Amino acid sequence: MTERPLLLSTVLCVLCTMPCRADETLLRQIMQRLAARPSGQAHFSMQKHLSSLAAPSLSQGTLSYRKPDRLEQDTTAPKPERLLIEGDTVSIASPGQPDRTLSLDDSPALRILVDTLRGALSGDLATLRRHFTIEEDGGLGRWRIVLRPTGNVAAQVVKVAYVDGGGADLRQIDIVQANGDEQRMAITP
Amino acid sequence: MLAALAVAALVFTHITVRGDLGELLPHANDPAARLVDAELRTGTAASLLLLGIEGAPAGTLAGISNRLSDRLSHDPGLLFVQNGRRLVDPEAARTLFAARYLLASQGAEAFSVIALHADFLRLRDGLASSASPLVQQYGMPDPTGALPALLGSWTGGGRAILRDGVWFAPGAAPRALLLARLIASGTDLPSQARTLGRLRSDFHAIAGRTSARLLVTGAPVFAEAAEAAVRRDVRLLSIVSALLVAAWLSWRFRSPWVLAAIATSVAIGLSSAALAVQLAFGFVHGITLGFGMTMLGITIDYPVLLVGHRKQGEPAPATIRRIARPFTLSVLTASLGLSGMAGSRFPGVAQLGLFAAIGILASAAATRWLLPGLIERAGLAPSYAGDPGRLDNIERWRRWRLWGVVPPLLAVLGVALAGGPRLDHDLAGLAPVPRSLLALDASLRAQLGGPDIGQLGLVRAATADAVLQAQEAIAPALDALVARRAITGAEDAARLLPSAALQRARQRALPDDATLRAAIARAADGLGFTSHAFDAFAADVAQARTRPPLTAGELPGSLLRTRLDALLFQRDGAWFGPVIPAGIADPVAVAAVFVRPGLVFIDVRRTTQAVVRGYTRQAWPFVAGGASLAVLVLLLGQRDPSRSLRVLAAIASTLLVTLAALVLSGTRLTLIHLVSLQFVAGIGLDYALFFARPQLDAEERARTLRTLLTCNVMALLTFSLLCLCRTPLLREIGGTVCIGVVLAMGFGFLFAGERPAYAARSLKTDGSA
Repeated sequence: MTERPLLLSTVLCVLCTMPCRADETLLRQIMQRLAARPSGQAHFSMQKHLSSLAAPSLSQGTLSYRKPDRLEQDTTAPKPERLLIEGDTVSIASPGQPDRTLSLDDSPALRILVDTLRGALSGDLATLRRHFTIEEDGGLGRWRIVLRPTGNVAAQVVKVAYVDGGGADLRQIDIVQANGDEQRMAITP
Repeated sequence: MLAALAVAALVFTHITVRGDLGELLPHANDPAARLVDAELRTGTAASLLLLGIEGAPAGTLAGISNRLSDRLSHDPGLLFVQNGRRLVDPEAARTLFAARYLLASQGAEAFSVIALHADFLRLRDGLASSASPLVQQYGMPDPTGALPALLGSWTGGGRAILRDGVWFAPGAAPRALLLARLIASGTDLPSQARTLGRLRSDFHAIAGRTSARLLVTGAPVFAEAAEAAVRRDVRLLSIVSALLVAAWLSWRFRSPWVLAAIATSVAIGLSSAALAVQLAFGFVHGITLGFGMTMLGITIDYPVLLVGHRKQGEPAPATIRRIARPFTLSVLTASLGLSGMAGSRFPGVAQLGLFAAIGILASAAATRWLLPGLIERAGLAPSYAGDPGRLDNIERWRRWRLWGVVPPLLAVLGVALAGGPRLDHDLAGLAPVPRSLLALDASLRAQLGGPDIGQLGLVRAATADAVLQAQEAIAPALDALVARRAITGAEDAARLLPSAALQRARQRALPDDATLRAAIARAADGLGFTSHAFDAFAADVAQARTRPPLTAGELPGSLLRTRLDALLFQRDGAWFGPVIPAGIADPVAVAAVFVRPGLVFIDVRRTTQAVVRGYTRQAWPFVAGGASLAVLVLLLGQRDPSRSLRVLAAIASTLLVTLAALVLSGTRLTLIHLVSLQFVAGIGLDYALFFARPQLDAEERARTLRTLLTCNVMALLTFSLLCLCRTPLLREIGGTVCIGVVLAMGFGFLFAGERPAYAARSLKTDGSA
C-alpha cells in the first residue's frame, strides 16, 4: 500500500526532471566555468544604439571584475570615464566633473541592468534567474545564452539579452532594452 | 502612631508622581506664545530624534545604518525613520514629476533656445556615458532639470553627504546619521521612554555591529535624562537625609522613641500635604515632593522643640503651656507666609506653596494633640539640657548686638554696589541636561540640518494657500537678507509647495506646444538627436499647461509629506506656517521682515522668559500679602511691639545677608531663589520666636539654645545634601538655604533673645563712661 504512491512519485519525478536536466547541463557547465575565475581583466569596445540619438555611440576601454560583486568599467575613448559598481553602490567619475554616487536601491531599472552584466560575468545563475528565463544554444566551444525577462519590473527595462562566449571566455554581451535602446559590448581578453 | 504611618503609606502609594519639568512651567497666554509652547511640548521639536552611529569603518556603519533603519521602520512607536536611503519613494517622486513644471522655480527663460541648447549638449554627453540608461529614463523627458531642482529643495538643508547610499556626517571620522520621529508627543514621556528603550535594544541586537556606538539626542532624550536625574536625586536625597537626621537625633536624645515621635508628626504632615496637592492639581510633581519634603524639614523641628523643652518627668501639657505662644505663632506665620505661593498661577510655585502650608499645619497639629501622650509614656526629654553656667559666657556675646547691625548694612551696601540683584527669567538652565548631551545634540543637529527652532517667523492665515501666498510675499525680503549675510538661508512651506496662484503664474509662463517644439528643433539642430527624442518633454510641458495646481493633500503620505506637514499645519481653525531662518547674524533685520499683519516673529527663548517674568511679577503681590499677614499675626500674637521688632530685625538681617551672599557670588536670581528665601524666613521666624520668649530662667534659656542648635544642625544636614545634587534647581535651593539657616541661627540669637541683665548694665556703664 505504501510502496505504490512512493514508486509513482519517483517515476513522475524522474520523468519531469530528465528533459530539464539534459537541457541544463550545458548552461551549468558554462556558468561553472565563468564562476571559477576569482577575477579578470579584458579590453572592451561598446556600441550603443539609442532611440534618441541618430548615430550609434562608440566607446572602448578596460573591464575588470573581482569576485563577488566588484565591476569596474574604465572607458578610455572617446572620453575618459570610470564606472565602479561595488555591492549596491554605483559611482561614476569623469575628469572635470564631480563624482556621482547612487545606490541600486534608488533605481530598479539600474539594478536589473547591473545584475545582468554582473550575473553574466560572474556566472551567477541565481541572480540571473531572479529576473530572466534562460535558454542556451551551441556547445561548450562556442555558446550563446539568451535571457528573457520573467517579472513585470524586468520586462519594463529589458526586452532581451544575449551573452556569447567560447569555453570559459565571455565574448559579447548584447542588451536590448524595453525602450528600444541597444548596447553591444565586445570583450577581448 | 502606626495608624499615622499606615495613612502616609496609603497616600504615597496612591498619589500620581510626575517628573517632567514642563509640568512645572507656566502655560503661555498670547496665541503666538501658546503655539510655540504647544509646538515645543507636542510638535515636531518635541518628538524628533537625531541619531548617529560611529566607531567603525564607513562600510560597516552603512550596513548597520540600513539594518537599524529596517528594524526601526517596524517599530509601532515611531512615525518614521530615515537614514538617507530611498529618500523619495516612487509614488511621491511620480507626483512631483507630474507637477514639476508648476513646482520648480524655473522661469520662462529655461525654455529658450539658448538654455535648451546647453541642456541638450549636457544630455548628449550623458547618453554617451555609462549613466546612459538613467539619462534616457530621467533626463530626456526633463532636459531643464526641473525634478532634480525640486528634489534638491525637498531633501536638502542638512550638511549630510551620501556615502554607500546612506547619510554620513561630513568630516574625516565616519559617522552614519539617521533621523526619526516618535509618535508620542512631549506630553507622553513614559511612552517616549519606552520607544527609546526599544530603539537602543534594537541597535544592540544587530549582529556584527562590533565596536560601533549609537548616539541619540533630541528633546525626548533630554526629557528622559532630566527625569532620570531628578528621580535619582530625589530618591538619594530622601534616603540619605533621613539616615543622617535619625543618627543625629538618636545621639542627641539617646532614645529611639524620639524618632518615632518625629516620624509620626512628619508622616502626617507629608501625607496631608501630598493629598492636598493631589486633590488640587491631580498629580504631585517629583520636584514638589523632593523640595516640599525637604521644606517640611521645618516640621521635624516641632516635635524636637516640644521634647527639647520638656523637663525630666514633667507632664507634657505643662511643657506645651510653656512653649504654646511661640510655637503657635511660628506655625501660623510660617504657613501664612508660604500660603502666598499657593495663590501663584505658576504651577510649580503653587504646588510647593500648598504642599508646604498644608504640611506645616498638619504636622503642627499632630505635635500639639497627638504627641504629648507618646512623649510621656516613652519618658522623652533631653538627657542633658545644657549647662546654665556656660550659658552666661555664650549670652555675653549679645553685648555686641549693635555690631550685628553691621553685616546687614554691609549687605545692603554690597547689593547696591553690585547694581542690585540680577534677575534671571530663563528656567531652562536649571534643567538637569548634561553638557555633553547638549554638545552632541548641537553637532548632530548641524550635520543633519534638524530644525533648531530658536527664532522663527510665523505666518497665520485662514487657508493653507493664504499662508503660502504670505510666505511668497516675504521671500524677496528674506533673499535680500541672505544676500547681505544677515541669515544663511530660510526654510518654509512655500519653498517646497508654491501657492496655487504662483503655480498658475508658472503655468501661464510655459510656452505653447508649437513654440516649444520650434525651440527644441532649433536647440537640437546639429547635435545628432533623432527628431522624436524630445517628444516626451514637449508632451509633459503641454500637459502641465492645463493640469490643476498641486495641493498639499495630493502628496502621498511619506517622508516628504511629513516634512511639509511640519511646515504647514492647522490648529484651532487657523493655518500656520513657520518660517525658519538659519544662521541668524542680524536678528533685528530678520524681525523687521515679519512686521506685517498676519505675521509675527518669535524668539522662543525670549517668549518663555517673558512668560516666566510675567509670573514672577505676578507672584510678588501674593508673597508680599502672605508676608504682611504673617507680620500682622506676629504683632497681634506677641502684643509687644519692641519684641516683634527684634524678631523681624533678626529675619530681615538673615534675608539681607543671604541675598547679598548670593548676589556677590555672582548668582543670577531666579524664582527658585525667591522660594528658598521664603523658606529661610520661615526657619528664621521659628528660631527668633523661641529666642524672644520673655522672662525665662537660665535653665530654660539653656534648654532653648540647645534645642534650637539641634534643629539647626538637622536643617544643615538636610540642605547641605541638596548641594550635591545633579539637578541645578535643587543645588541652588540647597546653597541658599544652607547660608540662610546658619545666619538665621546667628541673628535669631543675637537680636531676638533678651540681653542678660548684667550685660545690659555693663553696656550702660560703658556708655556713661
